[in-house]
Amino acid sequence: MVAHSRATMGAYTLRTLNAAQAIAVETDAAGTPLLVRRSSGGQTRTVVKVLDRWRIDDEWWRERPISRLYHVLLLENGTRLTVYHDLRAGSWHAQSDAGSWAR
Amino acid sequence: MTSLLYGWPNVDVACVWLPQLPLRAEILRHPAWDGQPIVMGGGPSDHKTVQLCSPEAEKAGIRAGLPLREVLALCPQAIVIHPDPVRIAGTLEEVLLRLQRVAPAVELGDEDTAALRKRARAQGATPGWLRESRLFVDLRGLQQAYQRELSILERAIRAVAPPLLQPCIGFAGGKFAASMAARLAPLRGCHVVPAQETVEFLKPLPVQYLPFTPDIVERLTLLGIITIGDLARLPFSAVQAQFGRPGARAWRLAHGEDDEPIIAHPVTPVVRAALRCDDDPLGSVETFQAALDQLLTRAFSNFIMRRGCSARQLRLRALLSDGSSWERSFTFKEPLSGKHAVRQALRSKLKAANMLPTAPIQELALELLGLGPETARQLPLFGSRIRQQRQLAEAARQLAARYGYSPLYRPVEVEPWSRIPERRWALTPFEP
Repeated sequence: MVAHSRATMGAYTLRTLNAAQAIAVETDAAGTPLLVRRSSGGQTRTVVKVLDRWRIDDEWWRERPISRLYHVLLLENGTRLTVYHDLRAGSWHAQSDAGSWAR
Repeated sequence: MTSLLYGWPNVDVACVWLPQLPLRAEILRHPAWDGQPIVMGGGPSDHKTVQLCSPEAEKAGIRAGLPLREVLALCPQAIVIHPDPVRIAGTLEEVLLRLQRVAPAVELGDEDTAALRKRARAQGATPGWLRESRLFVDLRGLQQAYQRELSILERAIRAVAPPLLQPCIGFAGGKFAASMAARLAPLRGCHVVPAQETVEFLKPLPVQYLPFTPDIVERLTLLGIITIGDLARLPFSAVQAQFGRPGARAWRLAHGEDDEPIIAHPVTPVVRAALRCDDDPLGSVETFQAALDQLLTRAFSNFIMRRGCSARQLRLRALLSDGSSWERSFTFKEPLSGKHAVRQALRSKLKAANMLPTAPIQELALELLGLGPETARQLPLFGSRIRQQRQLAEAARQLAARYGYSPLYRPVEVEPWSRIPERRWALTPFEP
């Protein structure tokens, strides 16, 4: 068996692409988003319509399973925003181009 | 020999001589100086002696080679000026460009006589600006265009040079005779020597006018050969044996045999733009750059450039507030078609040391030279990816040198099948 060379593996530092950003969301009793605010100082926008919705449950075999409920929202200023509700942590996040694969 | 022009005598060459062009170029700028004693000398790299003086100054006893400090003692009202090679060259070039509209074949010829060579030997190298240039025009084939009237062509040629330059025009069968005819013509006048009268015309002229070195002229003088006619009377073989090839050429010239062709100066279209700021000379780098931008805009709005021409060279000329002139020429690595590309290239070149004028600018002129068709970059069919990678690697190295790390990243697929968006792609540092 070849002995370990003790050399570093020269691994690159990976940076996440399309990482989710925390976002504040107010919902109704059914959990449907009504208001969104992008950051602490950001402007609050009213949700006009929920255009799409889907759920991802993955890596349930790991210590931290993933369970997200995605929404594609149409805001009052006409923009589209994709957010998801982390069903495990209870937090909300915005993530662009999230549904291109899932749908 | 005649100064009267009737019909079209047997002449093939015209010579336009601009006597004392360095002085006349200054008088062109200051017309009030015409008729005043003017002395030129003491350029930045020249001896502090008189290089050139007007006839009025000569009457006061001033001559070439006299120390400048003695000028005012001899002639208190003398106007002493420094040579301005840029203005001299610009004036001559302007005349050349106009003359090329009169006739297609125009040669810019330097005067090269024994007198000038002797002077150069006495005073060191003759400055380029001091060499009196002559313009030769090939007249062959122009009869129809000028209705077989040489007087019409003479007026057209005369119109190309401002009267203050006092152009003298000579017509003859060859370049040498035409040059001599121009020299003997009155100021602002012309002299015509038909080809059949060339030998008689040259006969009484001194041998110094022939293209000989001063040594040969001295030997000729010692031998009693004073005029061109004296030389012409000698056998060809004897002159050739004594003086070699120059002697043979001079003998032929003395016999009216002058087959030296006119080498036409290439007609190169030039796009110019200029501005004057007499009241508020440009004295800072920012105003200089702003003036350049304005000139570039005007140059590229010229109809030639609007057709999509590209420029290979750019020349900047400036007259400075201290009376001197400044000139810089730039050659681009590749022809540039757009104003922005030229501006970018020019700015990078002007950043080099000693590229800016040393005094505020009163007049600034920009010329686009080497004009050609619109250029486009043709990418190679093979190997373009390798070249792109090399350019990218070089850019990464420069950024790493500037910031201490490379801010360039390469997207890589990590788990493209993943349902979780942030797992599909990742960024890794770009390593060239």
